[in-house]
Amino acid sequence: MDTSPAGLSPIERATLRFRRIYILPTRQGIGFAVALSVMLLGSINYDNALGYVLSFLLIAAALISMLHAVRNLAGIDLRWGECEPVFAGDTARFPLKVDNRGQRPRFGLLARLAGRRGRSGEANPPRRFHLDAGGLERIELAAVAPERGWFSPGAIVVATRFPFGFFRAWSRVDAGLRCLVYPRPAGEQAMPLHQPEACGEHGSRGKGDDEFSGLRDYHPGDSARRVHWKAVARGQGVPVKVFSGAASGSTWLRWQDVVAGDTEARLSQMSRWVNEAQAQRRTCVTAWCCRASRSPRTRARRTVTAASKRWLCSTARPPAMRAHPETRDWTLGRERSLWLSICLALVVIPHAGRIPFWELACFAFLAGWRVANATRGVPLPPKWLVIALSAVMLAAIYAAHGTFFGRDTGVVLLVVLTGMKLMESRSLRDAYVLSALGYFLVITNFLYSQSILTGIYMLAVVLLMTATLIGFNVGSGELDTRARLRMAAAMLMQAAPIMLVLFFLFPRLPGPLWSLPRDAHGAMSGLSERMSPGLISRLSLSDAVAFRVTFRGEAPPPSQLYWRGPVMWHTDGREWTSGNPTRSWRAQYVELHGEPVDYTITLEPHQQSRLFALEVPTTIPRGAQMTQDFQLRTPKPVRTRQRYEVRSFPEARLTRVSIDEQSAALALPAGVHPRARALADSWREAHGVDAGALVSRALAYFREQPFVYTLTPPLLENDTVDEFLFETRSGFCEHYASGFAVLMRAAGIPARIVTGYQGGELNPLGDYLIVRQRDAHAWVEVWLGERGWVRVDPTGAVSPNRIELGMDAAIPPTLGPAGLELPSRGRLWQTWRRLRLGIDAVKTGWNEWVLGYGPRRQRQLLGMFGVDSADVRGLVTGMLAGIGGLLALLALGLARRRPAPVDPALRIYRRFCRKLARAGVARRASEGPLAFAARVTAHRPQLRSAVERITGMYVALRYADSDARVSEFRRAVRAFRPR
Amino acid sequence: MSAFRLPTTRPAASPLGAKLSGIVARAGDVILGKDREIRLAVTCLMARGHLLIEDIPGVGKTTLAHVLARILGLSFQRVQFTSDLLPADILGISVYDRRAGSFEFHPGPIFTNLVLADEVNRATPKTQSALLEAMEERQVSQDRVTRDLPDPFFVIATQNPDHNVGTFPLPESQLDRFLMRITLGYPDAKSERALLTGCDRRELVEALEPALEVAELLDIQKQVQKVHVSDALLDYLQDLIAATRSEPDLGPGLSPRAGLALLRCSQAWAFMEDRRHVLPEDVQAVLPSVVNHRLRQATASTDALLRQVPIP
Repeated sequence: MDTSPAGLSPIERATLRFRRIYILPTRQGIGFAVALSVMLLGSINYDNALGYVLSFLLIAAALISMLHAVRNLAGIDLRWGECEPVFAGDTARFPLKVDNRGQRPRFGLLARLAGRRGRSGEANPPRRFHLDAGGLERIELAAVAPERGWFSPGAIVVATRFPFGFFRAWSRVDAGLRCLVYPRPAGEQAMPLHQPEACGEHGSRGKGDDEFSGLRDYHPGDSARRVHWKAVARGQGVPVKVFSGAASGSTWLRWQDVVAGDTEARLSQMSRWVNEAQAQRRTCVTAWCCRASRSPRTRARRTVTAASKRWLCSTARPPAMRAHPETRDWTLGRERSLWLSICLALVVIPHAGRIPFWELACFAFLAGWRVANATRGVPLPPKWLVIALSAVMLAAIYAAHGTFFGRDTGVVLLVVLTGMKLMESRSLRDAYVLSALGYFLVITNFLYSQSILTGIYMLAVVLLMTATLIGFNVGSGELDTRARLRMAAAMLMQAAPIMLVLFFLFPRLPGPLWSLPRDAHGAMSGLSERMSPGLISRLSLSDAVAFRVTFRGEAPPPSQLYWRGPVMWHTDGREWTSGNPTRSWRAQYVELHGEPVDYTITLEPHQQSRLFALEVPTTIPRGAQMTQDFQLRTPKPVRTRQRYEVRSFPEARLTRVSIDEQSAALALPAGVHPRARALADSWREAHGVDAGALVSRALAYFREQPFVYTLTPPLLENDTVDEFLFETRSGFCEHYASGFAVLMRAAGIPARIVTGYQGGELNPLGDYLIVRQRDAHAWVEVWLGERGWVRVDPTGAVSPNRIELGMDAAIPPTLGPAGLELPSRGRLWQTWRRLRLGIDAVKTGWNEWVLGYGPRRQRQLLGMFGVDSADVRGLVTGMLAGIGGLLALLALGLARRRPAPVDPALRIYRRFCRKLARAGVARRASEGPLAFAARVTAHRPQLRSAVERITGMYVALRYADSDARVSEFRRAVRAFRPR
Repeated sequence: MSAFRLPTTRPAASPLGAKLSGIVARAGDVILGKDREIRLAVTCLMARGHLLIEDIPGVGKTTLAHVLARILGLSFQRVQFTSDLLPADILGISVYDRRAGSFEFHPGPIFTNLVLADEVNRATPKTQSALLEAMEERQVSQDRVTRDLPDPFFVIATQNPDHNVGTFPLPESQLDRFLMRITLGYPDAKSERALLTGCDRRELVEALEPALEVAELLDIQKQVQKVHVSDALLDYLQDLIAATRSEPDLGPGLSPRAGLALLRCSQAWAFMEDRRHVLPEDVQAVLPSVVNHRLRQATASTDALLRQVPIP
């Protein structure tokens, strides 16, 4: 067992235990904490859900890295040996044996001696190493011996920054190391070659071991073995035997021979002589015949005595100076800069469409330079060039954007500066800055897109960046790429539960903390306050989701699904615009009929102060207002996804109209649509003032004339309505609505156009309705006296399918994924449609629980767990408790020894044994399968065949060279029922 | 332990396996009540190892060696070791042939298939080491000429326990040359009665017919090496060896060579059990015989070892 190497006699040992390991954040850790809090603040301000997720994930990972750092040290065994004597000013090397008893490797370890060197206070150089599982490392700790005497280099410190470098865990072991330091050899005096006689009686005979040459009196300090005990017994005093030997070559070095200087100089001179004598392979004797004048420092003499004694005894040369071993690895290095460049490039790539091309090219150029430096050794630019380049770029950015603020400019700035930093980075400190910048850039991506795909992509990037971070803290070659990635993935997975606790319990503050830049949100298309020909047909090309609806009860039939949006009052003959009906709605304007419908709408941001609802809404969401024409308005544009609940009565009647409104609903610009007016006049003559008959007549006109419902109507040049009604006769809902409205107004019936959405696609996977931009629609409301405003949909007269079955039925979409043309209603199309519905269901969950998670959802979630009222304090307490609990659990899990992977056959066999144990026959751990089976059959003869069969299979699987199947064995054990 | 046979993994009974069972049974007719010891002895020979039988005089050590030689159909020589026995008495000697005018080598009793070295601890260390060297190398070097010993070559040595007067106990390094050490012990009451009432053992031995050809024996030895050893079994074997090294009672622990010996014996035992793969039971069956003479204080501890080390 005891196999100590030469030069290492393990006199003492210590194990690094948990309670002796200390941990504190490093400078990088504090810097990263600052970066993290900025990231979190940004996420709060922009209410960016993925920003929250990333910030919390990183916080959790950083917390967990603490556990990993401690675990990386715990259980390491240290054994230290004796140090070879050195000369003052030389480096003393203390041998240390570091033994990893655990089953997992230890990375990025540093060991050094705690004492400081001389007066300069420079720390002793650390030694960097790592340990394989169960591995053993022999290292030497170096410290410069300052002066002669016994030199204590201080405690042994073993430290690690693994895995992220945010925390430094260390342990001190007071090993009581010491090293004998000889005086520094110096002096110019030549070595005297003394005659032995010169030193009185001691020199009269050469001392040796070979031949007995006489007796002399005992002096204190003589060896007991040299005492002539027989003479002692005879009462002749205490004589000591003196031996003579080959003493002729011995050199006498005497204190009084040194002429120069003070005690120290003389000691140095003697030390040098001893060295020379040894080099000439002479036996040397230092002598103290004539005592030096009482030295002020008795220690000096003791040391020299000890030194000369050692030299006399051993011919081992003092250790030669050696080059320092590798110390702390603070350089960036080739591999690390490559990793960093790749990560940063990956994080910048999604910005490609968002920031100007030349700025992206700048970044690519800078990153490319770095990569070229790492792979080809292209030199990095000098500092002045970096500064000049930065200035030029800043100027260029300012010139291009006119500001340094705002989302887009901020991102550009960040990207370009990251590129500059990447290029000028030389040390590991810069690398930490870069990785923080990298995480920052991830968040900037979330400002533009928070889709699931972005999330997944960025998760992969974060994984890579975390692996890079791990790479900063292990030496090259300690962990290969796969192991790093696996470790990063494991750490992120361990961080996930803590991240979830933080995400769900972190107190969510409504509203931004400071005003957002104007371009904080992307532009969206949708219905607006004006309707020009072609607007809705353009929208109909878009598959973008307008909103999603969850009905509380049964969904109404498709023909009732009219989602009311902007109402158009005014027309200039070509374009319709909504008026400004400021007066708000009152309950008495509505006669309620039929059953109410309750539902929740999740509205995608559309940048307008408007909510959509099913006709006719009665209870409206808080904060919204309803106008007299039943539009729901919000005080601020809808910039984020909103959820609101509405109750509507689809069969209600709108029974009031003011004089102003009536006149507005009858107005037609002068001199336009002569043919339409003529037609309306002719009807009016036929039917008089019977409004109902006029409406039917107009609808009949659409039905009877060859009107075509199409997305691609011919271009209308002059009088759009007349050309549509009498010439082209093909159009989209907006054409029909405006044509109908004009006819009605010309016939003297108040009419207005309502835009919005009609229908929607029911997603059976989530049991909700998706309303897309392609469902945009326009219809008409006419005032029929006592019946109030009545909805008339002329499109329905032309294409009933559009209303009954939805847009897809009327004009089948044929564009599949990636613009692929798919035959409509084909199987492929159906598959694509189903897939799209599935994806949308996932998206809805994502929207609701990730992106839309806010104060309201938080309350709802807490309510689900029975917590009805939770203030910020309660939330924080719960959050901290949750994190603490999870960390404790994780610490326990990490401290547990990792079990070896178990052969599936063995696992199943153990199950079999457990079954038998419950039945009363327990297998002893050292009992072989056959012996156990024999014992079982002896106790339970009725089980014989089953037990023999199972044992046979187990033996065949585990011990024999057979291709037996585990599955069969598993089935047999599953079916095995002892008792 | 061998009472139980596997119904599913048992291969078609091989003719060699059946023959080995027959050999054990027939030897059991002569040496009564010692089936297990006979089995171990045959196992040892099948694993190409030398056997040391250690016990007090008169329990049938020599008879066992005789029986094995007869029944395996091997040429057989017996050397009675005494304190004045010289190496040349075993290895052979070169004698000057006057007619030929040259030295002629007269081979000693060791040039045979099976040597019974009776009471090996009575000879001087010099003679012992001459024998043991030949055992290890399976050849004899004398007068700068190396002569191969016949194949197969076995040594069955018997010895009295060390505390008997007038012996030179074999040192550990030489004990290590023996693959197995077995003890016979007293027969049980029933066997002893049969022994006392039955006919002379010597006559029975004379009457035994060889049951195995030499070629068959060599074939078996080859097949034993092919018996499958799974990783799981090696894990167990290594655990056992590691346990001997950490157990202070057992001295310095088992050497790698001892581990190899254990593996080979386990394979042979499995073959004797008519199996083509080794089970933990095989290791457990042979372990005391293989290990006890290699450890300082064995007998009680190896049983404890087998009980304590779990089968992974």
